[in-house]
Parts: sequence; C-alpha cells; structure tokens
Amino acid sequence: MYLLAGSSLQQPSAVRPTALREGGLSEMFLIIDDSRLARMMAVGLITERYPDARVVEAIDAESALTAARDAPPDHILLDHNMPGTAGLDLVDTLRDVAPGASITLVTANIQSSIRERAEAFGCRFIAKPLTAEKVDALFADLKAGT
Amino acid sequence: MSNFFTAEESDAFTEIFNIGAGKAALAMSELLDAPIAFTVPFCVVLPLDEATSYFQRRFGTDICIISQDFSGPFDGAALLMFHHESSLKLAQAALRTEEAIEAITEMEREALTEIGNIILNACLSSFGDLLEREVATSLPRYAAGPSSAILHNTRGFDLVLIVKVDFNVEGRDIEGYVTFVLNVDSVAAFRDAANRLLEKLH
Repeated sequence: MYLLAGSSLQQPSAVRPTALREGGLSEMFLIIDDSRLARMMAVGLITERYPDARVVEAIDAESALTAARDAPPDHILLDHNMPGTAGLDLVDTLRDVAPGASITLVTANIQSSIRERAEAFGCRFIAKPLTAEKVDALFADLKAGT
Repeated sequence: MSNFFTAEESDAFTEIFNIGAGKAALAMSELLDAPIAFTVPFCVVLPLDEATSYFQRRFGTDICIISQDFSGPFDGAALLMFHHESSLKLAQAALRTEEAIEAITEMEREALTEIGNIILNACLSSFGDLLEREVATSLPRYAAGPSSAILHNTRGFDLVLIVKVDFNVEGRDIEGYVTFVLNVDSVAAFRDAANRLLEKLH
C-alpha cells in the first residue's frame, strides 16, 4: 500500500530531471519510510516549501516499487532500516524503475560505513531527524544539480 | 565495573559512549527543537536480577522502553527508557501538539518508536565508527508496563552492562535513560575492543 500525500496525480513527464526545477512546482517526491512520524515530518517540510509538489508515501520496498512504477518520482527520500529490504539494498531497483530520480538516504543509521555506502551508490545522505535546515540544504543542492 | 574492567578500559568505554550520547542529544534536540542536556555516561556491570531491581527502583512499575537488538562487534540490545509520564510529554513534543497527551495510542507509539530509532542508532554509531566495524541494528520495538516484565524479555542476557545516560529536555521535564544490555561473551568482546582502541591511541 502506498499513499498519495500531495495533490492529485498527473502523468509523469517523459524526461525526468535530477535537478529540482525553479520553485519545485509539480515535482514528484517519493518518501519511503516505515515510520509514520518520519513520513509526516518529510511531507510537512516539503509541502510547506512547495505546496504544489506531489508527495507519495511508501512504507516498505514493495509499496515503494509499486508507487514508483505507477508514477516515477523526480526525487526519492529513502530510509535505510526498514522491515524486509533495507533502503540501500533497494537503490538499484529504484534506479531501474525511476532512472532519472535523485535518491537521498534519510536515516538514523549514521555510521560512517552506511554514509560511505550511500555515497558509493550515488545517493545523498541526511542524518535523521529531517529538519527545515536539512531540507533547505537538500533543495539548494538539488536545484544546483550537484 | 571495576570487577570486570581496568580503570583505563572503563575510561575508554566512557569516552565511546560519551561520543554516542552527544550525537543522540544533537538528534533529539533537532527532533524536539529544544535544548537537550545529557549526563556523562556512567557504566556498571550487573547480573540481570540486580539490574531489574535497579530499574524498578528507578522507574517503579510504569516504564516505557524502545529497544533495538544489535550485532557485529558485540551482540546485545540497546534500550531507551522513559517513565510513563515522560513518554507522554515526549510524544506530545515530537508530534508538535499543544494538547496534553493522556494515553499512548498507535500514533504516539509510532512517534516514540521513531525517537528511539534515532537516539539508539546515534549511540550505536559511535561503536562502529571507532572500531571501524559496522554494527547491524534490528528494527526498534516499543514496550510499556512493569520494568521487571520487560527486562525478563531480554533473553540470554544473564549479565548486563548498564550504560546510564540521562537526557533532559529543557523546559519540558522529560527524562530519558539509555542502557546497553550485553551477554557475558559480548562484555568480553567489548573489553577486547576497548583494548584494541587503547593500543591504537598509545
């Protein structure tokens, strides 16, 4: 099961940019986290900044892949410690399903080894909890396309 | 702890846990948007029954625990403990609601579990990083009730290393408590790891 947290679904564009478009309008975000609190925080922080952003929530690998296949996201926020498949083990499959999407690992598991693995997978890394400052820095980074 | 570890080993433990507690306090202050004070960790090794009495004296029968098993350099469980009253206030702070919370329902339980996940992982990361070994962690579990019943669920831990770290959320009167429960073999492994760390520093 996955949940649509933002406005209604639109057809995804044929070419999905990795960089956040100016203003972030109608970008689609996929939040993958088994914690409801973590998803609520992420959805709140994103939609406060970009009210028109579409945000889809998934609670595990299976629901994330279903959601990404239904409407490939532009940006993915991915938890690591989840029931079943761990976040980093899901990255390759997510890239197959949503090849243009940026992926940011948002995790409480802040060990250097996890951070290094995330970087090796080409993912950005944010230590939980997600805060306004961290989301602003991520968006600035996404806009710059770095 | 002197029966099990030398003063130097004990000092190394305290520093490892101190770094972890610092990371946990930072994460907690970001989550609650409030300053967090924490005490320098205090370590003690106790048999399970003595540890149970210790927690009963501290928390009475109304305890809330978020626990996470870990494995790798050592196997054990990390526990974040709150008195019931503190857990209600903490859930209220995390959910950013003005209304006082009177009972832990599913939403509060999920909020507390995620808080535990963040704090315990922050503490555990200090082990892995300093020892250059990855510590695998299970998903966090929430339990509430009498401390004796909850601690008896930590099967296989006849000897426990209690690392006491008190967290205090300024202005909210919330007090938490982090404890690591290890079995005998893991206490020994822990001592070896601390010695390797000390050798590197010498």
